[in-house]
Amino acid sequence: MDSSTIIFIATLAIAFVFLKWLITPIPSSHELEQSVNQYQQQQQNQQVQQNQQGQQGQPQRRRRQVTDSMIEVVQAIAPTLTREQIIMDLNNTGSVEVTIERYMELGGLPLPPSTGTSTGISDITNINEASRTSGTTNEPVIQPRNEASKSKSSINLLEKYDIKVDQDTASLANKEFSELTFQERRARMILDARSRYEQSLK
Amino acid sequence: MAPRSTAQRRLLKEYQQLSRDPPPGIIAGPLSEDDLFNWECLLEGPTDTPYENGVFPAILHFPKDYPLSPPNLKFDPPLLHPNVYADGNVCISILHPPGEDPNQYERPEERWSPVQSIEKILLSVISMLAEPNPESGANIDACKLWRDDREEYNRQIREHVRKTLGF
Repeated sequence: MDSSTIIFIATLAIAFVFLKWLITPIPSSHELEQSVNQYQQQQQNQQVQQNQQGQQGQPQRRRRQVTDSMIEVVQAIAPTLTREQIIMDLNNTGSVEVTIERYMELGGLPLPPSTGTSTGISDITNINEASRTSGTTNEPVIQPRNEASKSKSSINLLEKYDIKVDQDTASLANKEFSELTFQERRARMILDARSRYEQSLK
Repeated sequence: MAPRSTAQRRLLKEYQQLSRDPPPGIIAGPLSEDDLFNWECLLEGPTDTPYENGVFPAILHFPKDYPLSPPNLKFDPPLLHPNVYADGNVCISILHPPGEDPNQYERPEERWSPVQSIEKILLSVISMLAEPNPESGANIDACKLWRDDREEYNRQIREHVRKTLGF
């Protein structure tokens, strides 16, 4: 092999590393400050991480601190997961995209070791039950999303979605809309429409 | 689960946006986590129309090659409206496949293209509720009623709204 080939291959390798660095996700503005603070620390870790990459099964991007907004994004897509599950996986992956991708592929995420015996990846219903028994603090009890698919075909929306007027009005009254699950948002919309309708009759 | 396709990634992204920043009067999301191609949506009837105070559930079905092809929107239960077929399927320009309209009614930019979004579809449907387009009628009976006997048309819709709310 002559030296020009070696130089060519070396250039390719450098270009690859540089491009990889370019396409790593750019932290959004409020995360930027934290990132800057951690940057030095990260740079030290990065070396270690890159060495680990080969040994661990899954690819890791540069680690970022898990922020509330990251957890919220994952929770919006995967309402059945507990906060602990999401935090643990975000800690492992360091990226919302990778965590969501894992969730989509596995149909769930492993539970943190402390909350239960089943640490393996199981189907969503298992995780649901496990998260209920382990007591998810202030989170509302999350119904499996699949419930909607078997909703009855009734013209009366209260029957169709199994909404109890008094009970659900009370339980949904003092919650922020953004915190509600899909079912709760649906119930809230129908109940709000009902009360507007009643108002309009008066 | 198989690796996610472009359609699934796109649907996931749109769901993420819709649930983080929901437009007023619209709720939409996949029916189940395992199937991103069938969505349930709820639309509030626009104010100052007979559909006011109503909540209208609909099923959005996405083709496997979404966003190249448009989804299909079906009101469930069906709704009386000139542009909604008797079985609940909605007929509006934004849900029609891209390209020229053979009947020359619709301009190409009104029709579906991948730059449109679920949010835009649902907003168009709400404005369709407020302003029916009798030129491209889907439900002939509803068209006639809307044109000839607006009082009766409004009464039937208000009756439908009352029933759906369980009064």
